[in-house]
Amino acid sequence: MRRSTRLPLLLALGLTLGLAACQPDYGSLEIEVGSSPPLPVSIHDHDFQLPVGIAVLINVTPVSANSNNYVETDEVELSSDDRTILSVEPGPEARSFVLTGVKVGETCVQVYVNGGREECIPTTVSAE
Amino acid sequence: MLRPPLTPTTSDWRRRALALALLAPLACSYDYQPPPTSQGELGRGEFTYRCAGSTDALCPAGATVATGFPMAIAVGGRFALDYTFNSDHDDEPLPLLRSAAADRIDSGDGVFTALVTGYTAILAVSGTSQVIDVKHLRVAAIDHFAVYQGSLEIGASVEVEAGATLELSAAPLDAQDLVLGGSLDYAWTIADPAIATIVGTAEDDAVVIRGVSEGSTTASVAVGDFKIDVPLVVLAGEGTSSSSGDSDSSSTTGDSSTTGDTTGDTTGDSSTTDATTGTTGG
Repeated sequence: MRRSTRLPLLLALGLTLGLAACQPDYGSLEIEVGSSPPLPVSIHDHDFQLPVGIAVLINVTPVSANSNNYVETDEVELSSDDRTILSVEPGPEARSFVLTGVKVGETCVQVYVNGGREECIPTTVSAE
Repeated sequence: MLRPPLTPTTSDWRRRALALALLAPLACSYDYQPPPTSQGELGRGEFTYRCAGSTDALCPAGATVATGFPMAIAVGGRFALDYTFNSDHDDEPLPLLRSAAADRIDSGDGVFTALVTGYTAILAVSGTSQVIDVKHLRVAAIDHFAVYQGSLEIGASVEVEAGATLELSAAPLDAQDLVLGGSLDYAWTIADPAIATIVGTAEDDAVVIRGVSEGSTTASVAVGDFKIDVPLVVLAGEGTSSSSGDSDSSSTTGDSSTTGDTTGDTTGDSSTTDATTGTTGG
């Protein structure tokens, strides 16, 4: 009797672990700057720095930390933790975003992949 | 292998002379006007600059489209923008244009107002909240004014005969001598109204001044806290037609076309007509 109740649990656990092993594991964002603002901006996967009033287009690609890569249908969303300092809006293409410095200050950009929050990239909006 | 001769032959010279003769008239008649448009930074369309009022130094009288896309906007300047898609995107609905930072460039009722010096992005936003294009505008403080009489920038002072009128116009420039865009609130004044007076409006970027009596005074134009003084000399008048006939003296306003041409690129409003009428009558 005890044996029969454990078996489904073990099967479910094994299945879950097996499926998880086939999934990509978020590692970082690969970021490409897609526009040329009139003032210098610093865009890296670990931090963003841009002057107030400046907008920059970025194209992002999630990079998996394991051998299972993300595919094009995996959804990436970015959002600003403080929209009064930095606005993040969707760009013209999938996985493209426009970052805009609204006010001098510090905040971070939340990264969601397939709905799950993965990290928050520190962001500084500086005076010109 | 035979090489062509290095020295041109007589027939070569004739051909070159003929080509130059044909091209010369084209070169002389080519009057380039930069378009009032500028390509969006994301490459999907272009932004068109429009004047929001009659006091934008970049717009000819009565026109809303500027003579060129401004290199910079004056602090306090009001302006409008339109957006047009490139041909490969022209089936998309027109986007809404808005400032990226409202405390730097404010927007309301389709008119933008430059508030803070520096760059600010204007975003073209689609109905689905996607930013489909971007244009950075530079806002600059007024460094100095250029004051014109007709199309010529004035020298140390201007002269007008008593009873005659002249028209002055002002254009704001930044420290790099670039004409700044944006409609501004001008205020023209004459220090001594017994010497000269303003005819018509004094709130435009152009003003008509009538000489009243012989003497010297100062015409001033201000935008906000920025002000420039123009020494004004009123000469003894000799009736309505000037004996000097100098083109730099608008006292020859018996012919309205003289000032009409010069005002054409500034205001061209009714004050010009008033001034001309007044002069003729006086």
